[in-house]
Amino acid sequence: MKQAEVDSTSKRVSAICALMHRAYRDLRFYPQEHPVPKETVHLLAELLARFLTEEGSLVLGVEEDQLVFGEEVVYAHAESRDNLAFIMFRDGLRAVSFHSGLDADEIEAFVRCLAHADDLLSNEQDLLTVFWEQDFVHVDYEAADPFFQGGVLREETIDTLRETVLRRLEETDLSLVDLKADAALQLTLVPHLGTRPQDFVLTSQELQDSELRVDGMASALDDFALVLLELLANRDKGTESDNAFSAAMTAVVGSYLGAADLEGLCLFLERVQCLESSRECAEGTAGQLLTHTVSSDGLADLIRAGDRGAADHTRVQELIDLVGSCDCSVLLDLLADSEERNLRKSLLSFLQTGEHVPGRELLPLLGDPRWFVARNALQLARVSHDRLLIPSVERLTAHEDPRVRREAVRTLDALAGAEALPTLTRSLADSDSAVRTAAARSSLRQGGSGQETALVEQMKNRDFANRPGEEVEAMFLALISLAKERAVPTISKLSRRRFLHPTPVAVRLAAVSALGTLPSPAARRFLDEAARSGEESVRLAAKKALVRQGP
Amino acid sequence: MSQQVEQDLALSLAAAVRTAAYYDPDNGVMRQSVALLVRLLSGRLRSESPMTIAVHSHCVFVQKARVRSTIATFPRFAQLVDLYGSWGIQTLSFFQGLTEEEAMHLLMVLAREKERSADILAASLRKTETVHIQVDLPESAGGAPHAKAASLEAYAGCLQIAKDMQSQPAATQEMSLRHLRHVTQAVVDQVLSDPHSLIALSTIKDFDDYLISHSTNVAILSVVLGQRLGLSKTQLGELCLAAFLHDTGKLEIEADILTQPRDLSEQEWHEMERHPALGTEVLLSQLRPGVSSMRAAVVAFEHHLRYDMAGYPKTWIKKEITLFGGIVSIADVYDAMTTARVYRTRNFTPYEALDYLIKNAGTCFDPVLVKLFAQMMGVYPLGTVVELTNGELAAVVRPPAPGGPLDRPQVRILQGEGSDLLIDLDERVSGVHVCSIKNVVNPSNRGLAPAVSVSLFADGQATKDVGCT
Repeated sequence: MKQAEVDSTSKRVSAICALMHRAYRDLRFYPQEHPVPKETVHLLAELLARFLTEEGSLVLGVEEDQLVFGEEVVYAHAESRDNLAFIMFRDGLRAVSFHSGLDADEIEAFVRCLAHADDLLSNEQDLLTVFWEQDFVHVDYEAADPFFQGGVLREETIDTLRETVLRRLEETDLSLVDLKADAALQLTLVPHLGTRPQDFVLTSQELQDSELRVDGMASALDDFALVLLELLANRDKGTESDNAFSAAMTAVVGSYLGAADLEGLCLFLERVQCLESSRECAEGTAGQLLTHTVSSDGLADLIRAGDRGAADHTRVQELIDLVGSCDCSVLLDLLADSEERNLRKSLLSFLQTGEHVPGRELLPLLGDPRWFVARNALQLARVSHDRLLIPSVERLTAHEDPRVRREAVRTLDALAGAEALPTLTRSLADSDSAVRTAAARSSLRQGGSGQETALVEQMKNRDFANRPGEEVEAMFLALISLAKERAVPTISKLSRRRFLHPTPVAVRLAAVSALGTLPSPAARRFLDEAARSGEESVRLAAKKALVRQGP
Repeated sequence: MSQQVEQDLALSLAAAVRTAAYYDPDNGVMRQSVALLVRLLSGRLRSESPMTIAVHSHCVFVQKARVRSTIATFPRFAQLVDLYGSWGIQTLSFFQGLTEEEAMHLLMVLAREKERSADILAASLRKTETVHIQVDLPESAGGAPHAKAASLEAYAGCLQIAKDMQSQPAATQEMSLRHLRHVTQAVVDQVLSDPHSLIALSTIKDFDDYLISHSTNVAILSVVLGQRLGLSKTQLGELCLAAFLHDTGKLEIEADILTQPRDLSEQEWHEMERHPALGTEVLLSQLRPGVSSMRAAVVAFEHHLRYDMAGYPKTWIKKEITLFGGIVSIADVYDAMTTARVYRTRNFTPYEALDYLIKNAGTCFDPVLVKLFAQMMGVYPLGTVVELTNGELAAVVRPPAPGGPLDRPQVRILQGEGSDLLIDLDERVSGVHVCSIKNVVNPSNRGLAPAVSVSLFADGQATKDVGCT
C-alpha cells in the first residue's frame, strides 16, 4: 500500500475512533433511550460499516493510553479515566477487531460495555467477562493473558497431566489380557443392570415442566436469600465469618431494595422475623438489617414506591414500621431534610398510620426553626399520645407561622385536653382565622366558662360577621356546646339582617347550622323564622335543620 | 421475526439435512421436507436482503438473532452445529427466488458428501447454478484467545487453579473471582465447541488428589448437562463457577477425615456433613456479592441435599433444591462414584454409576435431570471398558451422537491388532450393525479407563501457546 493510502486509511480509522469516543461519552452521560447517544452510535455504525465493506476488517492494537492501527496512533486521550485504550488495557485487552456485518446494535453493545467498565470492578467483573457474556459475532478481541491475568498456565501442570494419563493407561493396559483366562485376575464382568435407552426418554409432561423450569428459574438473589436464612437458623454464632455473614445479609437487603423488589424484601424480612420469634436469631435482627442497609436515598426510593399501588403501599408501610421500630431517627431525618414536598407528605402519612413515633424522638423536631418540620412533628406528636410533649407543643401555639400555631392547637387539644384550656383560650383570640377555628373546635370538646366568655368576646368583634364561614360556624357551635340555650340570643342577634351593615348570608347559614344542633324551643323558633326567610339558601338550610330536629 | 419462526426455520433445515442422509431426492418424505424448508424461507424472503442461518460460538443464529435451544430442540440444533463445523462454514444465506431444486441440491451435498470444506460446497453450488444460496466462511479466524483455548488447556487451567486453592490457603483467601471466571469461561467455551473432549479428560481422574480433579470434573459434567437444558452462555458460566467451587467447604475439614481409608465414625461423619454450610460461609467471606457468587454459595450449600430434601444440611425453610443444585449434585455423585477411592474395596464402573443415578431418580436426584444426564452420557458413559461382540476389549471414548441410539457409543479398541482403532458402534453395513457391546467390565478394579489417548500430548500441542504473558 502506498504511503498516501496508508495515511488516508489511518485518518479514516482515527475518525472512527473519535466517534467511538463520542459514543462512549454519550452512552455514559445520557439515559438509556436518549436520542443523542442513539444518533452517535448510528453514525459510528455507518462509518464502521463503510470502512468494513471496503477493508473487510479493522484491527486496533490496544496500548496503555492509545489505540494503534498498524503502526499509526489513531486514538489518544489525555484523561486516562475516559481513555478507551486505558479502559481496555487495564483489563488485559491488547487488540480489538471489527468485522464486516457489524451493525448498530452490536457496536452499541460493545461501546456500552466500555461505558460501564468502571462499574464492573465493584463486582469483581471485568471487560473480558462482559465481552465473553456478550458473545459478539463481529467483534474479536485478544487478551494479554486469557486465563490468569499475570500468572501463567504452568508447564508442570500439563506435564503432570500427561504423566497421569500415561500412568492411568498403563494401569488399565488390557492389550495382553485374554478375557477368558484373565478375567479373575484383572477384569470383573459387570452384570447387566437392565439400563434401557428408552428409559431415558422424557415424557411430554416432563419436557414441558422442565422447559418451564429453565425459563422461570428463580433469581439468584431469592435462592441466595433462602440459603442465608437456613444458615441464620443453624449456624454457630460467634464464628470467624460472622462479619461476612452479616455483610451477605445486608447485601441481600440492599439488592432487593436496589431492584425495587418489595415483595422479595418483605418476604425475606418476614422470614427473619419468624426466626426472631422462634429465637433462632436475635430480636430486632430484621429491623437492624433494613435500617443499616437503607440509605436516605434508598429510603426515599422506597417511599416513592409506595405510590405504585395498594400492594406496594402496604409493603412500604410494613418496611417503614420495621425501620421505625429499630431506629426512627433515619425516618425523621428524611422527614426534616427532604426537599421533596410529596415525599415528606407520603412519609408523614406512613408514620401517622404505622407504629407511633416515640415522643422523645420528636422533641428536636418540635424546636426546629423550619415551619414545616415543626408542623410535621406536631402531626406526629398528635398520634403519639405522649404527654411529655405538651410543654413543647404549648410553646408552639405562639409560633410565628400560623400553620404551626393551628397544628399546635389541634395537637394540644388531643394531647392535653382540658389541661390546656388556658392556652387554647388564648388561641381563640389568635390573629389567624384557621388558628381561631381550631381553638373554637377544641373549646367545643374541652371548654368551660372561661371559653364561653372568650367566645362571646370574639363575637363582639366588629369584624366577626365578615370572618370566614367556617370560623363563624365553629364559634357558634362551640358557644352552643358551652352555653346551650343562652347562646341562642347571641347567635340570633349576630345573624340578623341589617340595612346599614349587611350581615353576610354565610353568618346566617352558620347560625342555622349551629342552632339546628340545639334541641330547644328558642332554637326551633329561630329555625322556624329562618324557614320563612326571603333568602333561598337560608330557607332551605333551615327547613333541613327542622326535619333533622323532628317534630 | 418471532423466536418461534426463527426456531422453526433452524429446525426445518436440521430436519431436512437429516432426512437427506437417509432418503433420495425423489423420495416423498424428502420432497416434503424440502418443500417445508423452502416454504418457510420464502415466506420471509420479501426483499433483496437474504435469510441467513448461521452458527457462531456453537449457537444457531437466524437473521443474526440467536435462537435458544431447548431441551426438546437440543439434539437437532447440535446436529446443525456439527454440520456447519464439519463443513467449515458460518452462514448459509438464502435469497428471494430460491427453488426447491436448489434447496434439494444443497441438502444432498451437505448430508452426503464425505469430503467437506466450504470451498467444495461453494464450488458444488456454482456448478449446479444454485444462485439463490450463498455460503459464508467464518468472518474471523481469531476470536478471543481464551475462547479458542484448547480443551486440554482449559482442563489444565482448572486443575491448576484448584491445586493452588488447595495447597496455598493464603492464595485461597485472596481468591480472585475474576481469575476463576476466566478459567471457567474457557471451560464453557470448550463445552460449547466440543463437550466430549472435556468429558473425556474428566475420565483421567487421579490428578494427585481427588479434590483437585473432582472440582474440575464436576464443573465440566455440570456445564454439559446445563447445555443440554438450553441454559444461556452466561448461565453456563455461573453454573461452571458454582460447580467448580461446590466442595470449597472440604478445605475446612481436617485432611485426616477426608483421606480416611476406612468408613467414617459417627463423629467424623458429623464433621463431614458440615462441609456444605462451611463452604457457603467460606464463599461468603471470599467473594463479593454478585449473581455468580450467589449461585456458587447456593450450590455449595445444596450439593448434598437430595431431591426429596433429605440429605444434609438439614433445612427448615427451603422447599426444593435449585436447578443448579440439582445439576451439581448429579455431577458430584457421578464423578465421586467413578473415581477410585482408597476406602472402597470395589470401585464402580461409569455404567454402574449411571445405573445408581437412575435407580435413585425421584428420591435423591431430579428424575428429569437424571434422564438428560443419561442421554448426554449414553448407556455406556465415557471411560467404560466393554467387551464387544467380536470378543475385543474397548473403552468408550465418545458418547453416541445426538439423536443416535444411546447404547452405541464410539469406542477405542484396547487390544490386539486393532489396538487404538476408533469404532463407531452405530456404523452399519447393509443396515446391520457391525459390532455391539456384549459386556461391561471393570478393569483392575479401577472402574474405568481414561477416554483420552496419550497422543493428545504427543505433538507438543499441549504446551504450545500456554504461557502467554
